[in-house]
Amino acid sequence: MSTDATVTGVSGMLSAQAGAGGVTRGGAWSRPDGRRALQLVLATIWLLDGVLQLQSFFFTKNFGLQMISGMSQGNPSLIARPISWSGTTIGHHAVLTDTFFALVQIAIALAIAWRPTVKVGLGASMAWSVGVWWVGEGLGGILNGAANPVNGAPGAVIIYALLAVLLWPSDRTGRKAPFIAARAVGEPVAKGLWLVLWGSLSYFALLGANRSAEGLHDLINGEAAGEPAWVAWIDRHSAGLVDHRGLTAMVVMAILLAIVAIGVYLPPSCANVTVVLAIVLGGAFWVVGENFGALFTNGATDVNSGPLLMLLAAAYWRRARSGDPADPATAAESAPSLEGA
Amino acid sequence: MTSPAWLNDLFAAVMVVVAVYSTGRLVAARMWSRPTHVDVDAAHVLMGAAMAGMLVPAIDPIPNGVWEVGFSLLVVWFVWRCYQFVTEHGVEGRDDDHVHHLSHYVTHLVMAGAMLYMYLAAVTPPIGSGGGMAMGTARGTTADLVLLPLAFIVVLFASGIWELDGIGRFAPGGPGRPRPELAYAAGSAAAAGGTAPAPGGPGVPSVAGSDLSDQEDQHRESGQVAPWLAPRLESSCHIAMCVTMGFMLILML
Repeated sequence: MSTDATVTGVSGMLSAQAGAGGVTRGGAWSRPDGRRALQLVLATIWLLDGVLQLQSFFFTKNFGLQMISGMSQGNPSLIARPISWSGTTIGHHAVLTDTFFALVQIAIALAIAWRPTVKVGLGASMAWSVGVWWVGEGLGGILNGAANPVNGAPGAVIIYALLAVLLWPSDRTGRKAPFIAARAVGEPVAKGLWLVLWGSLSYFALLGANRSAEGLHDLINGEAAGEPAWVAWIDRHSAGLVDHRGLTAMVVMAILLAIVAIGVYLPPSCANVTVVLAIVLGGAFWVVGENFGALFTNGATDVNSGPLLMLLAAAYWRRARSGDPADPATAAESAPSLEGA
Repeated sequence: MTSPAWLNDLFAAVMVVVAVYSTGRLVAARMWSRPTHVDVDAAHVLMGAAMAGMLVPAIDPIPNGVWEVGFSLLVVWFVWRCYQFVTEHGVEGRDDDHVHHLSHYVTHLVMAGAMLYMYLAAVTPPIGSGGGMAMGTARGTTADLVLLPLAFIVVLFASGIWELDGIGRFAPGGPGRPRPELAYAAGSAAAAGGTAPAPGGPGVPSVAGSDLSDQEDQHRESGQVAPWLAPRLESSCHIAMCVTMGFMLILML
């Protein structure tokens, strides 16, 4: 018998001895399965966001009066007014509000990470994300024509909410889920959400100014300001590649995004190819259009959409075959082990 | 980039608590013959004290050069510990406590490396420039090495989150509370084809190759159990250090 199997056996025995009564008191602490691992990645991103919120810029009036209020531009009055009001309020109480924002995000991270409060954390993640999507991101620019998937449309924070829904720790009875995202909401709903998200990205790619010959060039070039030299170099050279070819580039991108959108309905092997394509696109957006979430400018509140799109794509990865021990859907049922940090 | 003084003070206070607790932990482990990771606790003392000093320079009497040498040695030490672990247990194996993996040492290697980075890369702000950390934002060439601190931040936050996820293992009577006797049980189970005796029970045979101290051997021979010293508090210290170090690195991006 291998050492691992032995330790698992010992662990199982200890778990059985511990009895029932909660996760920590003998509810058989088990090694994180695929879904739990994705939850922990989400928690890690929330923690990063929370600590980013502690940068000095966000304790100044400029955070509310410039950054937040600026999100109202071009939005319908119904959407813009609450944003402007929030921006003014946050600007005038910068220290208090920013401290609160940081604490909420850190608390969400810790709640997701601590098993007894994972549902509280994911629920808070949904509520907070929707609020921030409106006030902090102006609905990702989808109503003012500024949305472009290259620089983060439809808003990173709404993907947090989507992930919280898809990674909810419950399982639908009946058929075994073919991928992690389908475990909580079922396969048809999970596929529908994927189609809507990636389909909307494809649509935004061809929206308004994004179709112009210089639109993509100007967008990427404009991101270089304030970045380290090597990031600015990537921006300038990427912008040079699409100079005067904006329409062609965006049409190609829209096609790729559409392929990803419908890929979830393809047979498993083809669907996984489109999942890989989604991860590649998410990574490309993060590096080129989002400049690593602008983390190096001391003004980033989150990591932007790239890593979240990649995390989301991982939740749609189909297992190799039914009943595979590595299957995330079945791993949770396997015997616990003494896996350590 | 500076941060509000009260925020630095808050993080510094947490680090002082961690350093003091880790010091007490080392003393208690020796006094009560309880197993603990001495090198990790010692690293927590050093890192806690150093970070408190970086956040509030007034409480740090030690020159930066001394800290740099100290953390260089700590990096070398954890490189050695990683090497030692791989040679003894392999990449996939577990430590003698049957809880910790190679990642336990890699994480502390990253932490020591991050501390060294903060001392070497940052530029001390001019005297009289107001409050804030002793270490300002990285400048010049180091400012282009932002992927390195970003990698540190990701590893630290992921480590803190995974540690919190696993903290339930260490509840009293929980399945993963690291206890030396588990080594005996696991070894016996291996010899018996998977039937493990009751942990800590009488007549539990020893495990060939296990690296337990003489005191633990005495406990075993006398049938006593020496439980791991406060593993959940150790984890909590680790989480606090990861968050604080990540905060400081973010300010240096």
